[in-house]
Amino acid sequence: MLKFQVFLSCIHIKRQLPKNILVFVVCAAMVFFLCSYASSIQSNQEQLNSLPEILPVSGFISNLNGSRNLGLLISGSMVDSLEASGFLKDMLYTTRMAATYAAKETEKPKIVYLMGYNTLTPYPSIRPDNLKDSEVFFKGQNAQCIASRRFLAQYHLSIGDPVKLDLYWYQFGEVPGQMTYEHLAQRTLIIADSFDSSVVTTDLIQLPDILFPIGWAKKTFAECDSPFYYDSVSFRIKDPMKMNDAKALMKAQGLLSVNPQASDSISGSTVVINDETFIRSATSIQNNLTLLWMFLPALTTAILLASAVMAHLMMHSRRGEFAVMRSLGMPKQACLRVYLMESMLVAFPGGIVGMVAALLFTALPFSASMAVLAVFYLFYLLGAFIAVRMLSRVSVAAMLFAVD
Amino acid sequence: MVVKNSLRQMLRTPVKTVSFLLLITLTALFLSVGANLLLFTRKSLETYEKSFKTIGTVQQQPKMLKEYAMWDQSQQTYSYGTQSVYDRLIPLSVLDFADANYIHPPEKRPFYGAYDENYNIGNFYQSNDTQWIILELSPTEDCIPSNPVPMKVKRVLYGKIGEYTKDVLFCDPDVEKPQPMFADKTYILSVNVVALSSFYGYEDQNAFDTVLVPAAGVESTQYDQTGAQVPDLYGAEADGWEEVTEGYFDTPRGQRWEELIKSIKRLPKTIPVIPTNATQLLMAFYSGSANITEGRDISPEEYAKGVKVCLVERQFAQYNRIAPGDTLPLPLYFADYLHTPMVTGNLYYGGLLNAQGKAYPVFEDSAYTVVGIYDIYGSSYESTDFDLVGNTVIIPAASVKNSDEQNIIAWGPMRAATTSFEIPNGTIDQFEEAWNRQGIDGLKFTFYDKGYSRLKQGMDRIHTISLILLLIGAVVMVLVLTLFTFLFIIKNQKRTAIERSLGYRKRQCAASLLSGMLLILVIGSAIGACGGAWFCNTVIDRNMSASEGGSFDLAYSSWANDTDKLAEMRLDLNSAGMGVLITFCLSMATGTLIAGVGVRRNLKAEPMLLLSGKGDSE
Amino acid sequence: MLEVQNVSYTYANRYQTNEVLHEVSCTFEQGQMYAIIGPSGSGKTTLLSLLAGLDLPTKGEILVDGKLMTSMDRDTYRRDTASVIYQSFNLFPLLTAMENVMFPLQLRGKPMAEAKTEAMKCIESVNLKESVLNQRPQRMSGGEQQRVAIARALAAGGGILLADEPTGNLDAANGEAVVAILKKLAHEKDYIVVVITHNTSIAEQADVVYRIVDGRLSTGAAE
Repeated sequence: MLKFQVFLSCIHIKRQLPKNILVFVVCAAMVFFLCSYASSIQSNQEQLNSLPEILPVSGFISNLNGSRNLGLLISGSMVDSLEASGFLKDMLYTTRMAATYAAKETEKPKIVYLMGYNTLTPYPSIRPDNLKDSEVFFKGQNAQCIASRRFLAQYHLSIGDPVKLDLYWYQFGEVPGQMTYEHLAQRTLIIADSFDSSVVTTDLIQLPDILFPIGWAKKTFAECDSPFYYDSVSFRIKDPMKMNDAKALMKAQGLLSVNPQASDSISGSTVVINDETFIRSATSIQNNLTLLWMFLPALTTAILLASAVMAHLMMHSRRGEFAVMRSLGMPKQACLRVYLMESMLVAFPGGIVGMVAALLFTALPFSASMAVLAVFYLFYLLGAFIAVRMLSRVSVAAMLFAVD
Repeated sequence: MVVKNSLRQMLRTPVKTVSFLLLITLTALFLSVGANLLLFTRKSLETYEKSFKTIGTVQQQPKMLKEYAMWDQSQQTYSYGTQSVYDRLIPLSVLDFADANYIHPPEKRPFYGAYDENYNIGNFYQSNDTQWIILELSPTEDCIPSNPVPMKVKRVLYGKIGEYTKDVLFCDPDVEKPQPMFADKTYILSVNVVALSSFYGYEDQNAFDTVLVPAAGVESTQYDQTGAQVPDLYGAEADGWEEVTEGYFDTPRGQRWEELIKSIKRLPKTIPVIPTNATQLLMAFYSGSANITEGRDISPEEYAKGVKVCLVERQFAQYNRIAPGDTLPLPLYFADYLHTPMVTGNLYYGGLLNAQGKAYPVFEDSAYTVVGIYDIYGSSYESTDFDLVGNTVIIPAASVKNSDEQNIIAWGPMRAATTSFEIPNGTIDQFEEAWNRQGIDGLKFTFYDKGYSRLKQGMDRIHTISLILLLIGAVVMVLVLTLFTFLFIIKNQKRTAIERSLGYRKRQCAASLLSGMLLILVIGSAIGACGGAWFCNTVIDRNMSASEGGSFDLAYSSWANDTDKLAEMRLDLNSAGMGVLITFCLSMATGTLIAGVGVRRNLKAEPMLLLSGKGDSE
Repeated sequence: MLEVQNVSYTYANRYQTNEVLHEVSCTFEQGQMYAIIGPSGSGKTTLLSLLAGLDLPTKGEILVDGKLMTSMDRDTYRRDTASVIYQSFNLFPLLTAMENVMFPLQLRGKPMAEAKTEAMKCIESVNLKESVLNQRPQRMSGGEQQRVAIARALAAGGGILLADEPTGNLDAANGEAVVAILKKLAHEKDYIVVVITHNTSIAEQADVVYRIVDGRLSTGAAE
């Protein structure tokens, strides 16, 4: 019986070829559309996911009117909280100190300027002469330093020599060139290497004589029970998609936005974030995604309902034949199966062709296209089942004995 | 009556009629929503593209690097540097080639100096008159100033030296063996003041003790537009100082010192002015270290037409109480085609006098309207040529009507900081291929696209899929309409046959079939089109973020006050009444066309065959 | 034998309830051709559809060879026992004449070749031209279509043939030919043949005539 039902379905399909080709093509087009739509969502999502890596977002702490990002007083505890939050990465710090040094006890001490770093990567012109991995050096807390060649020559020092320094913490005044000093402690640093700096300086920044790991400075300040300040801080936002959380934290820390009208100051109380390209790009893609998701219910419902209506109408026109088959003793289920099979034998390959076309022309993964296909079939079968149910309620006698 | 009968018959097949109406409504809805979606996503993609610009910089590569020796007085030894040597300066015109496809063609930007007595540039430049002095000195004894030697101050022509200072130290640290100076002679010098402790043997000295060293004098470094130096009428002075003899100041050479003083006095009131054809061609704006925070940017039309508008830096605006809309005079008097203004405020790299020994005259004197104020965020340890410095004014290059060729103080090869252009996003490879076909060596291009090339593939995919969606959507709509018109009309062949056998003309049969169908089309299309538009507007209003940064907080953003950029981000997503009308008309047109084809087919069939049951197309 | 015992049939719709048949009792025996006559709307077609197992009576019983129709599978009954031919032929429009006749045979599970052979026999017995065999109903004349319908009914081979106005859409000659086939079926093949007709000449050729008026049956000659 099943073989006969299949045979009947196939004959029906063959004898109504133009209509069935049309249905086939419509199903293929509908599935292709749905898969393309899903692919569009996926492509936009992938693009959005790739943005944080391709468009990094960096920022730095500046003074209130944004004119300086160096030579500032930036609260160490505040920065440490930001770093501990996990929202920021690739943090770059500097801190400044001054010291007095006398090569001999009988000599009058001279001022020596020191700069602490946690990495030299952003400063390509400051290069230790011998150290292979300066990153390791500057990430440590050891009482070591890298001294300028000029300093070594001036004081007749060599690599490995100790340098006993009276450390001062200093800051710039409001007026350029004005500085104030505060004594910190006496410490000895071992010269680990030398450097020849040709950094372009501004009139705000003194060329350092000595470079040291910032961790050592923090440790020293802590030992002296003195609050630690950074001279400059820059960073990257770890996950730009969570930028709002990072900014909320900065607000909570009391950091301000730049006020161009403000006067010059050295307080590092403001954050500047270079996020234009990321925000503009991400917002555009997010808008795209929002639109696609918003329109998804309407468009897919329209398509799927249309496919259900199509399935329904294809069957609705065959009521007469249904009655004849029933009158010839074909069980109701068998009759309905013939129509369902006919419907599926056209729609299913159509859907598969649509899915294959989508796999070829879009980047939708196989699993997603199978899911789309399944949803399409579900709706198509729903329409077919509704039609079948309505068929089963047909009065066979009324259909058969109706006179044309 | 024809129409009434048609409607009556339609109403008697409610399932089919309702199904068809539902289908038309869904199709029109689909068309409306789909078209709006595609329109909106295209707008969104355009906004996305606008986030990126591709800028190329050009640097002429030297033919070779020549080593040169510099005397380091503090070390008493020579240190060596390298100097680029160019066999010829490649002209900008070589970059004008076929297939170049520029959005903004390459420009080799000078920076101009503008002087006005009323400019207030705050503390930005240190007062020159304590750092740059022109005076007459006489050595206390014969000497060779290779080390600091004592000198007596005879006369100060310009600058401030300590009120009671009569004795100073002088040294020429740049030459190992300077020319000797004699005690019985008086020399006129242009000098700078430096710390004594930077000299060999004086390292322990007090940080406040100073030495005078030679500075830029009366020699000229004027160039012409071919890059050739204009011969100095009086030749370069030897060793940076000249002997003052009787009547010296009446000589042309002597008169130059007055001109020099005039030029030096202008410097504290001179601001850099950069002419360009697009703000984005300046790397500081492109990279985001400079941002417009008040007013607006200079528009492309203003750049093209050379309208006298300008952007002014924040600090300068504050010191001079300038707001957008105000007028700023910009008397331009020199052009430097090689350097960029330094962060230190040093604007002058060459001679202060022209080849005639005069202070450079003003070559362009116009008043510019300030349209925007920009901020430069942060100063850097490693400032580069790309950075803008304080007080810099940006103007459209085309607004400078007069030629600067008599006012060029420096000229050089194309450099990345001064030579740039813009090409369409994603065309770097094509540009490089087109350039390589020119067969010209010696220029290095560096491209900046903010990550566009890495994102391009994804963007292209999004574009392609949106096109596929449009195409397939249209195909689906047409196919669905075709299928159901086919069913609806073709199934009514017998009815047409009966009507024809009863004497209806073909036109009346067509009207009978079409009237019902058209009514469904009109109702369905109207509901679908309006419903689609309503849906789009409602859902968009509820879900699309109204805030300027989209879902992102613009707090702390360097560009948060740039109204032009914020405006570019905004999407106008309202579905206008025009969209509804277009959807309605498209749906009607497609449906009517397909129905017309179906009706024609029906009318072609022979009525008697149909009525006898032999003509059924099924 | 088909027995109808006090069968009543009422159909109800939104607007009214209508008793189409009222306590109809009659029998139909093998080897006889029966005619059921009556005015339009008298219930003839309803009785036929009940006899065909297409519906069940509201009251009363129909017995097939002593078995209650309500106790049997009516699909099987229609497949194996009773066949119906119609005024409007009701052939499958998508199947050829041969395929239409083969249908009941294939429905019973016969392989295609065997079904074809048997179908040919049925086709020959109704004098159908071979040229028509591969044509679809749209291309046939009324007479040809009705012959195909009869051949299809024969292919079911059940012993009961019910005919609803079989000559209604045929000319006189074809009509006569069809009736002759029906008579032959009844008398030679021992079929129960029941014909609903308005045509008195056909009724006169029947062995038994039942008359239905307003849902009530009586026996008697055609008027």
